[in-house]
Amino acid sequence: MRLLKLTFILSTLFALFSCHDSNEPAKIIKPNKSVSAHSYNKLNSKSLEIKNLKDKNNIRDNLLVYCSEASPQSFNPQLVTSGTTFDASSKPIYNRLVDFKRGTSQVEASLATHWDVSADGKEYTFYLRKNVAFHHTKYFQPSRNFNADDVLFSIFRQKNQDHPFHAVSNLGYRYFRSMEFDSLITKLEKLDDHTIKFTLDHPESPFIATLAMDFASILSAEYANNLQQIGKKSQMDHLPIGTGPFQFEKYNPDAFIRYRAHPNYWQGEERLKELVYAITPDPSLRFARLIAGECDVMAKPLPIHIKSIKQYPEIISYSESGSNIAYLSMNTRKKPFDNPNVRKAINLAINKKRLLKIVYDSSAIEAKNPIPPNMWSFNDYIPAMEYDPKEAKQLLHKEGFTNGFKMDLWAMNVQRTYNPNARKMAELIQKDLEKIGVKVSIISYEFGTFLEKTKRGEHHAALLGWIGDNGDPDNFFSSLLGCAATLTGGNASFWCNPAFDKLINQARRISVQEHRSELYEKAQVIFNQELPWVPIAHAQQFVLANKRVINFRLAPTDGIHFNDVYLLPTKH
Amino acid sequence: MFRIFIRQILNLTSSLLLLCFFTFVLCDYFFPNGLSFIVSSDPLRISESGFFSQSIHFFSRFFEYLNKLLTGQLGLSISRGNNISDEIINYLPASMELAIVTLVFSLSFGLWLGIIAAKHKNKWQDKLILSATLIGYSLPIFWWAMLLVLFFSLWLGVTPVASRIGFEYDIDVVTGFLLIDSLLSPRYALDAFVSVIQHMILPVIVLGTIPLAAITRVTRSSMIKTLGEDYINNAIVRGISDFSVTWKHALRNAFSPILTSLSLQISSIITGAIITESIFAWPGAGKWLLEAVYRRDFPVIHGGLLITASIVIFIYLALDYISMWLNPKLRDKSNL
Repeated sequence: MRLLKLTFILSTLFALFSCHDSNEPAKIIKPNKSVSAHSYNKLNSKSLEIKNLKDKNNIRDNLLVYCSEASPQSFNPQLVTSGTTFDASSKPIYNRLVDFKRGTSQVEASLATHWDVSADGKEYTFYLRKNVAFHHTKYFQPSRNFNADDVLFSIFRQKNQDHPFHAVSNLGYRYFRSMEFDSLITKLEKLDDHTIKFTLDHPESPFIATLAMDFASILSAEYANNLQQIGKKSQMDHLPIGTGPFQFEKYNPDAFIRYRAHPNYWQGEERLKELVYAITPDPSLRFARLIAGECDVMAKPLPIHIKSIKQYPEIISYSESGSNIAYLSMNTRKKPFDNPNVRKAINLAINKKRLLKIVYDSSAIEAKNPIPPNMWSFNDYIPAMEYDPKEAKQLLHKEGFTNGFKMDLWAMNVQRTYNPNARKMAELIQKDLEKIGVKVSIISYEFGTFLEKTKRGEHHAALLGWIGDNGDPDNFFSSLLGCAATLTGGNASFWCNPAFDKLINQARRISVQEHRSELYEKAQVIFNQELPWVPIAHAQQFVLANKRVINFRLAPTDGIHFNDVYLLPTKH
Repeated sequence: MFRIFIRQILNLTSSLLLLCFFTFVLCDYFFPNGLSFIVSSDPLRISESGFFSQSIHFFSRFFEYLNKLLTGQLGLSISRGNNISDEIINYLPASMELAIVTLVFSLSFGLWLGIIAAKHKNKWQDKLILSATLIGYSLPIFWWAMLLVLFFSLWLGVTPVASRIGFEYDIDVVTGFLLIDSLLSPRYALDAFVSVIQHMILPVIVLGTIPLAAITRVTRSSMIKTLGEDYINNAIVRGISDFSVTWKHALRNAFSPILTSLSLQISSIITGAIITESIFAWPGAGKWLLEAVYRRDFPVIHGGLLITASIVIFIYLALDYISMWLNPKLRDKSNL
């Protein structure tokens, strides 16, 4: 009797499970989950079911899900420096006076239709676009279109310490500072509602390109005034209002961000009606979601995922030779790295080809200069440093290090675009340097601490990297190797060469690209004589996407855009 | 009963006080700057004025800290600048939903399997269940979750891979419990609710495996003992139905040890939730805490620690009451 009961219970259980199976036979792997969800709902009449099903397929056809790698820190791009936050804030929500042409690092008109530069290169007059609408949302209904006040607000909030919004959110304006905009911009005036004029301290040729960077996004001054009146200033950075292609709808921390197409977008409404960023920090899980069709686009795949996509015909990979560099920075203020010959020996002793093969899975380009080869002014005449441990050893002998020396090598423990696995790279370098008698101990800190400590110069040598923000070589040279950057910590080698510094400062102040290019090429020659770094690799940036996603393009400046992207309808 | 109540309240306050003291010492020792984030809504100013500097006496700092906690303020998150109490309110419902469903799942299946095993002591059913629980108890959660995702989500495609609900459903947050919220939004009829349940299947199985195994084993041993008692034989001889004997007469008396093991399993659910939530991208308190650890956001770690520890203390207290209610002997003893 008992046995009978047991078999009954078990069989009902089996029936239940098999019921699940038989109900969704082939639909399963399809991206359209709503279909399988629907088959449970047997209560609905059949006609209603078909109608609902169509509705929901339509929703999914106009809804793109992007599996992103982390939560944004804020929705105000002025406050942060992380690419993840820019992907979630400045790219979908905001526009800038000028923007990068999609998929390139060339600048094109955006909120400014055109601009004049005075003969001395110090005055920039921008003519602003008319009839640009701000987002109309539940939390703010704009009464006017974009005008000069919004530009003034966006710049002054970052520049003026006494601005009513300057202290809001308390995160600082690091990008604004590091581009030296607070000293560069001496005056910003509104000439009329649609004309503004910047007056600069000195001529600065990358100025326009820098205005296309994320931190220069244009926020709404009217929204700020409203918030100030009701005493909710900090809402500005949590519930954003911009002019961009998508408007903010909902953010569930660590789960998802939901955007809707901005119906009055000045370039025309997007074809995607909804955009969801599904925050999925684990790369394997992101990949699983992509295969299961829960995501249409996946950020930052691992090399193993890129290899395995051949098994999945519906997945394609996008790659872009990123505007970035991974390098080993040697602290020239510490012995023995103050000696250029020691630095050269380290350069010779590291087998870069092996690093590229093992760490990047052969997907990166070997570096020889501080800028990537696809950037203008790249000096290709400089020969690449060949791996030669014998010569390295001789050099060390000549400099009196017959028994080698001990050094610390700092490596971060997080995955970055320019370096997928710095720890592994450090271990390989450790092996290489052992051959010339240099004993390396590897040190890791949590990423924030790591950056903080390298800025203070506590390291012997560190594996660092940089992603170019505005497509201008100055963004690499000044930020990473200039004498001024030894003070802000961007120059973690603390290498200050007067000849080099003179060249790059000169290049910054003239506007003819050919002349600038010449100066930068000379600077690269000096760099290669002095070798404050071991330039290692320019990594490629990868994104995996479903074939349904049309018109997707990656930008060299390491950002994700969904302008003009749309989805092919699912077959059913 | 009243005296027990008073005693319990004293117990509660003293353990909470100890907890606060413990967290304070931790903060004070490892992260003195973080304290200013916890006690002040304007952390920059207070660290400048040196209000919380080491020169002030240890105990007066502690009482200031306690004072802030009593007003319900947990300070600001360093990395996001948000009020931590607000953040907890955002994250906690997702975790509680998962934990409650897991508890119901592991308790119901655990009792059921345990009773089957007890009634078929030393037969094949018993051996099967026992070995299954042994495996279940020793499974590493992480690996088990990956395996389930691989099999059910990627090969069979019957369950979603991650998150709480399909993105085609835009549900307004009312209670934070999606099982309830999805029913409250009439736009999607039952579809959204079904989607929520589908998304719950794998996380609940993963999180519930260890508690399920533990409860099954305790139920089995406790039931075997009870089923051998004379009064059970007596009941069977009297012709009381099999169902009634096991579920009503025997289970109630066998429940005490099960409840004790349940209270232990609740802490295992809370720790397991951290792993489960990060595997399934479940936006709950566990994942929030883990991220805070990665970011070294000390005030958040502190707030999370305080809240989860107090929840565990309260649950233990509640379970104490339930066991007293179930077992009159316990009530009498503590009255003496």
